Amino acid sequence: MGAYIIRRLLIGLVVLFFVTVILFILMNLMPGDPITAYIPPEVLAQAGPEYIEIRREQLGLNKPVVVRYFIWLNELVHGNMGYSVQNGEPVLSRIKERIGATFELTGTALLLAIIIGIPIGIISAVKQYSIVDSLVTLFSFTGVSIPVFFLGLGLIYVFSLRLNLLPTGGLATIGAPPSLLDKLSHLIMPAFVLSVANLAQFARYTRSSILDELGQDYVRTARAKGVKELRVLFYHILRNGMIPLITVIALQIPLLFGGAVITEQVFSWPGMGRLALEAIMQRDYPLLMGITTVIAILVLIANLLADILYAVVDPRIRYQ
Amino acid sequence: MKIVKKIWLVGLAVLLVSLMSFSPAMAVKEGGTLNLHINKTPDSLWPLTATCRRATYLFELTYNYLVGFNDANEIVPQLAESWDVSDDGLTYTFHLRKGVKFHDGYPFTAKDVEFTYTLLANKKAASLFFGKVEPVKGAKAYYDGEANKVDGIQVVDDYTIKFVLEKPNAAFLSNLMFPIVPEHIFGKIPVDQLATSPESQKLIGTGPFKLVKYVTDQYYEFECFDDYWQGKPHIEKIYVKIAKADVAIAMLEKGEIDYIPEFPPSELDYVKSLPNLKILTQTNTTWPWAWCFNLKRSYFKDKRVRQAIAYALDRQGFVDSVLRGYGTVVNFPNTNARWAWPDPSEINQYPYNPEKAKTLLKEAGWDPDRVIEILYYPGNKERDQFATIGQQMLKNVGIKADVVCMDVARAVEKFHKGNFDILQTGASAQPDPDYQSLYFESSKVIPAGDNITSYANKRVDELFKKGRKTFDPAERAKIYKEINKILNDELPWIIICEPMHVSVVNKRVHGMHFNPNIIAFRDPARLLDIHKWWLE
Amino acid sequence: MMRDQNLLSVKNLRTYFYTEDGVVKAVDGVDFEIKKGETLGMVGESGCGKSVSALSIMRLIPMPPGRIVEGEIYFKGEDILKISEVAMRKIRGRDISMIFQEPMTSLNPVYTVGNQISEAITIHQGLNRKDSWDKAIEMLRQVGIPDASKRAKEYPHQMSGGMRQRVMIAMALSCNPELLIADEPTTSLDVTTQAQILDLIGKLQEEFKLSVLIITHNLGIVAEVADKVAVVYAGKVVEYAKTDEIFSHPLHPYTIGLLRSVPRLDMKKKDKLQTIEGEVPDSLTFPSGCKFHPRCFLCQEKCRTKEPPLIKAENGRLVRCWRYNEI
Repeated sequence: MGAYIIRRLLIGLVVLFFVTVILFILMNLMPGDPITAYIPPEVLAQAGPEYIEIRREQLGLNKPVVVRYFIWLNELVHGNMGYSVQNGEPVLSRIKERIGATFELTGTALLLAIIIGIPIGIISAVKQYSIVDSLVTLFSFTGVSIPVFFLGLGLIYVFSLRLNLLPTGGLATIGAPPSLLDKLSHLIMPAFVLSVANLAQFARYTRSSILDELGQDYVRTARAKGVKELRVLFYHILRNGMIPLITVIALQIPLLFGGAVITEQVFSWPGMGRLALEAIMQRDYPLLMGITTVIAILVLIANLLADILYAVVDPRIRYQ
Repeated sequence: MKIVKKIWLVGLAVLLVSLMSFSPAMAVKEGGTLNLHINKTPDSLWPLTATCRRATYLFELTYNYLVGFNDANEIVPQLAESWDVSDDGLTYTFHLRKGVKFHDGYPFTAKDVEFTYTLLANKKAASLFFGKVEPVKGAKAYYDGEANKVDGIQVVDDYTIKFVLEKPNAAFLSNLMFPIVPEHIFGKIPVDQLATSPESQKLIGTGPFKLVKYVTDQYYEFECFDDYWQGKPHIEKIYVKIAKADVAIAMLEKGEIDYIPEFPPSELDYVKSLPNLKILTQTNTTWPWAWCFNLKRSYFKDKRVRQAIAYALDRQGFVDSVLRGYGTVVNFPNTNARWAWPDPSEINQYPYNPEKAKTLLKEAGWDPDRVIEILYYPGNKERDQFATIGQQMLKNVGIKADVVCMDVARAVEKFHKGNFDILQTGASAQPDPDYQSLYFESSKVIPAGDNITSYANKRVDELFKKGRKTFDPAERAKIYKEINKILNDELPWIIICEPMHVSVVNKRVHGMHFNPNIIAFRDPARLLDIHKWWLE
Repeated sequence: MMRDQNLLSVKNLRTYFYTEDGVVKAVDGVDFEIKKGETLGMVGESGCGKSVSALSIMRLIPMPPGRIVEGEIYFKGEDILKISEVAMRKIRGRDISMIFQEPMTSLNPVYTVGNQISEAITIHQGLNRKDSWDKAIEMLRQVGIPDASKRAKEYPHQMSGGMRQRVMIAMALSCNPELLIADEPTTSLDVTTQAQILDLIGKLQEEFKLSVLIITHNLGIVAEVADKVAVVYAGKVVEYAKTDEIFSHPLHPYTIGLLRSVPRLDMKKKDKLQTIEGEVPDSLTFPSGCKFHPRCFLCQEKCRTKEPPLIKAENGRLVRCWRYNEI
């Protein structure tokens, strides 16, 4: 098991290296200059003759791409992700300020998707072709295809404006003493919106996975032993059915971060998604590099966890 | 005719504003919390490097400028109580207000003014506003590192400061609108580290409100400044909340936001149905929307083609439908300096006339098979719609066009390389009409400057030069009127319209007074009198 | 009464599957009995309804689409088609056990074999964790797995096919059942292992005083282990007799066909192995009359139109053929 994890970890590091190389190349292929992108032309016009050149020099943008990459990599190894082009703040501190909120949001969303999606999938598999099952199928297709901003604004309209139950956005009520209830009331809508697509996805995969397992011989064996139906489902089938789901969940994690970009916009959620969007629009390469690298690391960690989880759940992998 | 309408609207706005400030018989109330909206977190709060327009709102809450403008667009005292200009127009002596305090209790003196404007000329400060001090004697030498101070900035005593210019510059005074930052704090920090120092993000100024707290991407919390030199503000607390525009409207309806300073006109129909809100408009001459031609393209060289396109566009129709009437069609690159406007009878109004457009195109020999490109970058909901509306209108007169949308960075790169046909953009105007030289003087052709269209006209070049040297207001007016007339005829830009600034505010907010025309060191200048506002 | 002597007695069992294409009559009139300690071999080609019959006895037919539409299954005198699911669950694994064709997939891949055996013990005998684990190891020993206490901790994928089938048997016998249903228990195993497993079943049958229903398409196995044989064709028992009688004197043309298709040691090289011509009919489109008639060498007009009942022949043998006495 230890060797297995170490092997995965090493592979992860190699993958990370190539990811950063590719990201760096892509970012340099992206048309547009960071300085002209974030300074409005009429402001730039007042800034003095060589302003752009001075800034480029200050930012090291005049060096060749390869050199810049290795400078960046060297700094990264030393725990420095560089400085934002926009305001010179360290990238790491800009990310740190926001990563907590993003974790809160994506974590809750993932949790919601798992604790709602999987049971729904199980029910619809066990009651295949029933009304419940049809409803679930309908819901999954709607859930997957409904745009996040549309759903978000719709929920705000209903729950915040018409019913006046929940706040329109933000982390917490401004000026109010911090409380769990207040926090939850702010978290519930964005987390739900972000989880809907995943939830639907998980329900669908759980359903098909459980249906697959239901037809397996070992299920018949268990029943022939006189095992109760509930135990057949939760003890025998579920653990086998979870194996493909682990992959699905791990694959959803990067998408979750992607979805967070829009959700955070809609619900004024102070996370990394909004930062990323700004970084892209303003060609803030160091910031963008930092954010994508952090996300790449998170995704790799998620995959590593998934791999470990596999081994825990499935002895066939553990004993390879 | 359109100009007449515009003046009428200005008058109406003035009337409304004055009614607003006089009609309530209610007594002014002290205290309360005001919630403002901005749609994006400003990239920086350091006035020298902040590029985001939203930062200006925060500056208006916390800083003061040396001078300001009144409703008639005259320069009026702010931190400078009065000033004298020498007869040769080279020396400005400012007498500063006494008893003004910074948020930390330190008194404001001439040292702070000297520090601020010297900083603008410091290359290491990466200031975006060197242009403001460039006319001052010795500024360039200091910028280039050839001098260790700006010769032209001279402190006489604690409350008197002199600016000596290289040569006379009529636009200088209005350029002085810039937040005065405290020397006693920033003087201790190395210049190249100022912009990134935590101190620079604290908004320590002499303004009516002080920053208490910033919660990342959520809100800024401000508290009224008891020692404000214009008197303690009525409002106790201000939250500036950051939210996406669509959501802000919901928050406005819910009462979580009191005031959205920049409101999309296309959403107004909804707001009108809500009883607790009122709509405020300001005539806006600082941000006209335009189509800029790439005059390096041979097929745009004939001005009849540009004129034909102007006739082909139903600009009034666009203003009426998309902007719900909240805009004005104009026919020269405008400026808020009304004194520089030519008489409406002297300029071509280019009314919507597709037949005339067709005739002109025929005369100019337009190739009907040519396909041109309309480039725009998304920025303003309503403006963006004009690209496709315009495309359709061009089609009606036999011009084929593609619409290309790119994000700002890519679009800027594209048009800086001169690789475009028509660029749809919004251009920001400065208080003094000299700003137009940025876009139309031949020495400023891209990529060196911002003359996007590569427009070159010897007469216009001469006039701009002359305008900067002329101080007699009547003479100056003549010069800029002529420039505008030429631009009206040659149309390097077709001004689509000047959208009005629309803001929506909760009726519980009282005492607001807006300059009917927006002028500021950078727009929007909505909060300059916020110390007079009060809440029901 | 017969019911009293018989451990299991199946009467006129009909199990149908209601599919989108129509009703599949997988089992369409199956009768047989098993006495205590007796072994019944059920023979037939794939798809003839053997396995469905066995699953019907266990009441493990997936419903829907399957349904037992008719018949009675008496186990120790009680019709187990009429008892509740809870009561049935107590019978499964305790009174009637079953082993399956595919030992590779019949075990749950994510649990140790010891765990899977002790599960049955815990359920039916109420032993605690440790006792049932010890019992599981004991069972593994009985089915001839060396080093049982170590192997109990292994997962199915770590074992060979033969070992797994032994595990299945250990599991099936762990609660001392009276009837073991073995559905093609050796089909997927190699020949040596096959023999070992059959020996094991035989040995355990004596030890545990088991009755066995062994389902196979392999007549050789039947000859080796069964006391009686039920030949099944198209969902029906077509011949039912003692094993030696079936082999020495088959009465049904289908049985004859089956016997001819078995290779024998006394065959000469040039003798060709005979096969039954034609194919097993599609259960959706069974022919009229005798279901076997399209493939039958004795077929005549009556066979085409009228289906024969299960006719009592000499020595209490049963056969479903109009012309059995012409053979």
